[in-house]
Amino acid sequence: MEDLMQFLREEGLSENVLHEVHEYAVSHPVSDAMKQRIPVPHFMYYGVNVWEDALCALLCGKNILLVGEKATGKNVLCENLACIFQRPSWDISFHVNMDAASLIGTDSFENGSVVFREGPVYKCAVNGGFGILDEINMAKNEALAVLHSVLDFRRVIDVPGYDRIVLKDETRFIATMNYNYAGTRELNEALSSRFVVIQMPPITQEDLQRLLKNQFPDMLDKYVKQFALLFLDFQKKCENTELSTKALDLRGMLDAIDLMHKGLSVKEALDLGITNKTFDMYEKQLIHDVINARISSKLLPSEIFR
Amino acid sequence: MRTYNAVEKRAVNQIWTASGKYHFEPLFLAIHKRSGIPNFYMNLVIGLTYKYYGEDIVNQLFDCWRGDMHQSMLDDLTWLMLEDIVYVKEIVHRPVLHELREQYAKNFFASEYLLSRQEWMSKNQLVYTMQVSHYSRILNRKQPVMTMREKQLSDAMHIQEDISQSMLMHTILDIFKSYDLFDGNRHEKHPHVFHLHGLLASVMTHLMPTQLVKTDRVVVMRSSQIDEEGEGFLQSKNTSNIVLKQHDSDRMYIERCFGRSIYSNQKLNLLEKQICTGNHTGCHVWITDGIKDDKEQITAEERYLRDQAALQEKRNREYYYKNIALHKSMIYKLKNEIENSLLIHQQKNALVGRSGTLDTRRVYRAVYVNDDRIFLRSEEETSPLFSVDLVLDASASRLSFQEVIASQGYVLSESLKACHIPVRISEFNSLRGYTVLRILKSFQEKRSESVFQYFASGWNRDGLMLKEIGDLLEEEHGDVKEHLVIILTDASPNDSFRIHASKENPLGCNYEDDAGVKDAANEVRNLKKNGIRVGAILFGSHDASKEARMIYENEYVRMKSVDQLANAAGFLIRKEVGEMNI
Repeated sequence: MEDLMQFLREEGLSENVLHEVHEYAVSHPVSDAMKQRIPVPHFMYYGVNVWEDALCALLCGKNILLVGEKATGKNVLCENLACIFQRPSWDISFHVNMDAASLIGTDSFENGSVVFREGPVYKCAVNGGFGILDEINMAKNEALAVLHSVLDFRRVIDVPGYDRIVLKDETRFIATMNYNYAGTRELNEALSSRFVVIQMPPITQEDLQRLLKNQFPDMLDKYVKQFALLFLDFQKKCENTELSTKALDLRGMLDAIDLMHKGLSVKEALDLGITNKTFDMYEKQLIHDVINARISSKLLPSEIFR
Repeated sequence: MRTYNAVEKRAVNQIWTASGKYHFEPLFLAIHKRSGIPNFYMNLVIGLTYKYYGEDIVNQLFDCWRGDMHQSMLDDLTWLMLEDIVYVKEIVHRPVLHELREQYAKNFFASEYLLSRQEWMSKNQLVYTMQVSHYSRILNRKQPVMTMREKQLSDAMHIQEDISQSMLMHTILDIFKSYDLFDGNRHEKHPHVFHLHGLLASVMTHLMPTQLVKTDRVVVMRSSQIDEEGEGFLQSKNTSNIVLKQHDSDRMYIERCFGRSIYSNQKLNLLEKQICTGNHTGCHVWITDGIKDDKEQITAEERYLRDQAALQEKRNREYYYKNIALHKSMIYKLKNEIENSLLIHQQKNALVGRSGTLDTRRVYRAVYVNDDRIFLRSEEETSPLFSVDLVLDASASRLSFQEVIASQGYVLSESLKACHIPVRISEFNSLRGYTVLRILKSFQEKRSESVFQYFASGWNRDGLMLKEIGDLLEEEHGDVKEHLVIILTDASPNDSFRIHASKENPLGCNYEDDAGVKDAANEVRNLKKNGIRVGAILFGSHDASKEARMIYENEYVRMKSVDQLANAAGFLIRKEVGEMNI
């Protein structure tokens, strides 16, 4: 948490906001059993404005909906937020067959009697955690109706046949959605009105270079720049629907550079990390063309790092 | 927007990658003549030129000498200069360019040994000398033997300073002017135009290529023969396509051109009585599966027509297989998109099982009857939920795009097949008062190869076609409840057969413009009333958004180029899936 605080100070985030976040974290301690659920971020989210918006919204008790294309850092930000507020988090990945029972909980049958088996939203609510509702628009709206009373001013879970559960004060929900992904649905008004919506901008070249430098401190500056630009080339191609988003994989690129660091040839590493993510031969050619326009096929891994 | 094949699409992507912009159509694509693969480095150079100088300046520059008798030479020399100019600008940001450039220069010299004598002869000597000089300089090789003037030109063309946008045209035109290559005025080769009348005109139309507009005779033409500038198409009467004489029986003519009717005479007469009413009084319908009677005695001309149709089928198939990588990629993407939509919107079937979500209503069974099947599990629906009818406009206005339309139809058919959605693909056109609906691929056919039989000819009476579709869906609906009809259209119904006089329209009128649009709009409403969903893919030479809105309301997508047909259909399908109760 201290690392993250320091990082945000260096990013130029308002000292007042950081002070309030720190106060909040200190004044809302977490039980030992829940401490293991507080995430330890591997990456930092770059983007002062989004940070400020998100921190202020959470301090005001709001739930957040992060809307952005693939590789805009939605999940990294979620993890970072839970860490800086020192809250346990529950990751709930939404899918088409998601229903109310898999969110709140379901009846189970134990020793000849029906018992209630708690779902992640329920656990998050009673433990005052952060619920990360990942790709919320992948699920059917009817399945999400059960969340309405959880997310609005009522802040309760009413399970038929059981007690009415009031959410702990610290409970927050952070949803993410990728609007343009094929097959996703429009979030209905009732649900979206229960969030404050933060539009996640695509990562900038500067932030990308900082991220690469942070992950690979021994990488030469000129290659930091070329790999950052390569990612942005993919980003533009995907924005213009010339490539599917499979190639737009920041984790994949970081993995590829990691493999180069271990000595794997540049071409092989990029194939493993990026190109092979698509199974479409034509798309592979396009991906190779984008790579060849930035990175020499003769480049040796030893030339990239100091 | 132009249509690209797989190689061109890859080349244009290389250009867009280098420029970082995607909303322009490059004037040039670099493709190796011999191997037919994109010229990677030169495409980067083209893209970088657009990046630094923008579309307007590039267009203005090459427009200066467009049509000039030395256009090809000036283009080649300009690209040599631009290569130098953009290299200097970009190398700081893209170090890999150095290696790519050197490799390109080496390839230039290596390819010299592969040129045939004809290729050597076709080379412009000045351009070749400048290229040798340019690439020798890149590789630090000795300069070739040049005249003093050539040496000076080569030095002038070796531009190493940073040229601003405003100075680019000025710099290049100055060099051309200084070396008497282009004085700023186009020197065009004017075509000779003769106006012929009477007997001479008649003789010449038999001897020379002619241009036709939509006609009531079937002609089968390859797309590349079409005159892109005009409405019609070029046709040499001597060598290729046939023009059939008027037959005594139009019906026989239609049958011999398009194939037998799938209905008996009695059924066909009954159908005509039912649907050839109102605006279509006096018209005929013909619904066919394209099967022709080979034993039937046909004239040599009709035989020739069939041969031409077979040839077009071969061209359609060749076009598909030539660009198979691109087409397979489209099938893959479309299938995934439609599958995703289906997954999201489809209601699950809940089945009783031994695991899943507890069904509290069945708990007593575990306790009292020892039945442990007290859970509900969801099961994916595997039987088809709706069918798709893709109806392709096959009037003469589609002549330029036959191969692309056929390939796109095939792509859509294969994508839907992979999603277990029944699909039928038909084409429609109107000739001599007959509105012909030819089924290329039926719901039952497993393979989509027959879509390649598509060919364009004649007119389009959209209203009557929609009535035929309505009837066809009553007859054969693919064993599903919901139907989606997607029509490739230019939203300009147009037929040579007039609308007869009636009470509302005492003088009658041509089937075109407002009358055609209103008629088609009415028939779309009628189909919708019967629970059939209708969507349109708009593609035509003019913007017919207003007419499309009148006919299809909001259920249409406009596509810029015909190679987007399958994607546009996919978009409509996803949209409809979202609104269906499946």
